[in-house]
Amino acid sequence: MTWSVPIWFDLWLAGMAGGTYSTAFLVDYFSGGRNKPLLRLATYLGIPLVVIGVLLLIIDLGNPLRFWHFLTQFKLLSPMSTGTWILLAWVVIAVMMVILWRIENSFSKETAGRLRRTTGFLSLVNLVFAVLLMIYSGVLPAVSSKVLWAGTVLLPALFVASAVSMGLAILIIAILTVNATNKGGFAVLKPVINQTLGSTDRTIPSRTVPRIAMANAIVILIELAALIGHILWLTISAEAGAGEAIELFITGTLAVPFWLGVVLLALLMPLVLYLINWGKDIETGTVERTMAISSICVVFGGLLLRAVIMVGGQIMGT
Amino acid sequence: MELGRRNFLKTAAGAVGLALLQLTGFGGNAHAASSKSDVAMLVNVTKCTGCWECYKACKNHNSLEGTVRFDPEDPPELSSNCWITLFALKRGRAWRFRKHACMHCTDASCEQVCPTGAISHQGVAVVIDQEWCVGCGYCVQACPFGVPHIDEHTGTARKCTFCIDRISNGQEPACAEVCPTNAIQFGKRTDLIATAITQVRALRNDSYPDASLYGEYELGGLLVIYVLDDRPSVYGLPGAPQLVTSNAAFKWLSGFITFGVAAVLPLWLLFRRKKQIETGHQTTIEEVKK
Repeated sequence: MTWSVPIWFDLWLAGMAGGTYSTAFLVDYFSGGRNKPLLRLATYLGIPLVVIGVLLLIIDLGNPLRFWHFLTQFKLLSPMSTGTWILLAWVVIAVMMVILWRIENSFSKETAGRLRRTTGFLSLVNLVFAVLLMIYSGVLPAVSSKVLWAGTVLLPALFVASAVSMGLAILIIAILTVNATNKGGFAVLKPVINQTLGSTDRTIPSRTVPRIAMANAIVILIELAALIGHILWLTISAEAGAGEAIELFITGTLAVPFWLGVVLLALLMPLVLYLINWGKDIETGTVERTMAISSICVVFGGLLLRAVIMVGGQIMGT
Repeated sequence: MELGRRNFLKTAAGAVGLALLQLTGFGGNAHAASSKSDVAMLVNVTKCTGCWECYKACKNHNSLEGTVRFDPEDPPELSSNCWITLFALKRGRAWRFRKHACMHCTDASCEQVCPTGAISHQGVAVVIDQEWCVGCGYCVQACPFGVPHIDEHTGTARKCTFCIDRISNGQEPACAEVCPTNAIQFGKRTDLIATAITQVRALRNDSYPDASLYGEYELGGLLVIYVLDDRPSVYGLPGAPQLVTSNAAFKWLSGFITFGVAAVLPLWLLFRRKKQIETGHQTTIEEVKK
């Protein structure tokens, strides 16, 4: 298999980083800046995710030491080339944002204000790259001759919906963790969170988690629609091999990971859990735990989704 | 947040629009103008006896390791060390064989997706620069004919070079030179196409109603043209192969639309409402104060 485990992880990590950052930005923006810590958390989390993803990509090359050849070209039509530049741009801007956040309080009020405006602008630019990051992870396999990946235009939609869902799940986990450390829990993580958030006001409104969970329920429904749409489209498609590709998931060798891992664990279970906890008090331990478990399922389900699709595409061939 | 909402939306929409416009603009065939080469290779399946000489000649000329004893029931698959194989098809008691190797497409998907520019048209052939290839495997996933393969030892993608070294010295490709039945012919493209059309017509008149010519127009014209006594799919060839990047813009677009529907819309609905309520509340207090 030419694209194996490192590639699945790269697509998963890139999607997760893009999803976490873009949803954090939107939550903060639409709530009028009331969720500032989220953007910082997403940026700090996204950097290692993307860096690990890139390292995995490099390790997976036939000639890892030639990785710099990627940086000598920009080919708009090659998703791997554009993806390389998107990954690089996102990380560079994220690192700049981190540096600005860390130094802004060392200057006078006026300079600090200017630095904050610069960071605001960079965060907007990085939103564009975060969105591109998610889409790239779906377009990369979709621009190929593999019928399962390229037979419809819905694979990028599926991967983007999954990335957004994973991003929201990561935000839920992050908020629950920060809130727990504020209350004295997770002592080990406290220094890391203190370093990440610095002197930022770390209050996250109590209604944020249920709202993010509800948003994620909507996203999961959209992801399900994209998955069903992709399968139906392939089923009615006249393309050679499309029927066999679908059979592989429904009743074939990938049926168990698909139905149990992707459909049940990554989609239906979190969907039901998010919905039944809607409106309940998040401070309740059970609700908090259920939210955390659902979110962990979404994140690891995202990896399974990518693994199953990447394996399926290569088993089926062209 | 330091940016105004209107400015943010304008900038974001502009950036997305620009990217899509560029992609759509580049979505066409980058090599349309320089497409047709003067030379080509004609493969007639009805003349091939499955002698395996083309395979051996390719191995020898390109110093490719390992040879196998040919068994039509289990022919070797293309690999980094096997650049030619025979697609074997049983017809009654007889066998038909189609020489299978790189088609050297005019609109080559491998060339389009190669992220480092290691794959390019060198004269008539699509060639992988072994000194520049990083071994990412994208060409393997993009080729509609399943031709390139990653070599474990060199870490690069490898495939038939159309004997570019021989052609530049005025020689034929090794496989064409050794073919004892003239099933593989090398020559002027226009002449070979004319010959192929005549051969297909003859086959159709000779109880092969589905006989077809393959490669004249597929992917902008293949360097290898086939005379088949049946439909291309019977011989394992994709009926209407597409340049993989031809609808890339729609795939990017589907991602953008999904982001709008799955992220922007729900988060706007769930978080915007809260702000409106709070703003409304503040206004009321101010009014009371007044």
